[in-house]
Amino acid sequence: MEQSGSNDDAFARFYDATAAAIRAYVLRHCSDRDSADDLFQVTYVKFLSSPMAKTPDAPGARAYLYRIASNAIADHGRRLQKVNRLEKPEDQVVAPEPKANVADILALREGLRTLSKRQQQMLWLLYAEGFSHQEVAGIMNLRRRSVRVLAFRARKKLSAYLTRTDPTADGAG
Amino acid sequence: MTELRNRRADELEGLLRATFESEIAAQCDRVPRREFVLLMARIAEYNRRQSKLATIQAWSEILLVGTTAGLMAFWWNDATSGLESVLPLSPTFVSWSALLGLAAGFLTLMLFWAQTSIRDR
Repeated sequence: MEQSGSNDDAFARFYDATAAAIRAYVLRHCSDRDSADDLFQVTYVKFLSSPMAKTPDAPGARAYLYRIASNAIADHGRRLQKVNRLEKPEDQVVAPEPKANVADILALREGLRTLSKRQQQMLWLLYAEGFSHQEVAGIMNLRRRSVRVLAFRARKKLSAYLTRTDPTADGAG
Repeated sequence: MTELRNRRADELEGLLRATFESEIAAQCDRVPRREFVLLMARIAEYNRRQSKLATIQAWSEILLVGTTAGLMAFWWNDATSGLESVLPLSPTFVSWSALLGLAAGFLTLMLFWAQTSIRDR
């Protein structure tokens, strides 16, 4: 792990571009805030000790970082033997300037909790990061076709939950 | 709340993106400083290196004891009786055993040097 010169600058850019997203990702998928901080640190330390640290500008670096984070989350989950994450992490309650309706976002967050951890990870990688199915398959150690199917099922389940909990839907029915 | 019953897939995807974006935005001022992460990585690297050195040291200790014992046994045997006087050995074998003794001595010195240099790090 030798950081020097332009490599330092490259890592600085990479860190600035990924840190917030990685912290939000681990916070969403682990049990508590302290663990999220640990996982965040573990993710970057592992990244920096890998050959990829020499080329953080490389196209696959971001996906590689997410792969490390996903593995760290999985290890953490196995250690704790927990399937579900904490009920309501404080960091996720406050969301500055959401582009969508706040009530919708809150409903969606509730809906996301009904999904499995793996489904949540997949939706994050697809919609927060915009990774392709191929990239998500690489990060999550799945086949590309499986990603498509699992993502479809996750969206369907989420849609069903949102429909069930929609008060306007009850009134209409 | 807007109607969710007939929400189309793209609307749901838009909502997912907005939700995740807001979560990421909430973390922007909560991430540790980059210098801190780099420091942690350096400490981890240092610990890894120390762990490797500790393993080398442990093995070199065992080898050191072994070669020293072998060397002493050779010298003791040579000093008290002399291999050639006890056993009907050819001069070639005796020179080979002397060479082996020298090699063991050299290895002992090397291991001692490795031990000392690791300890001084």
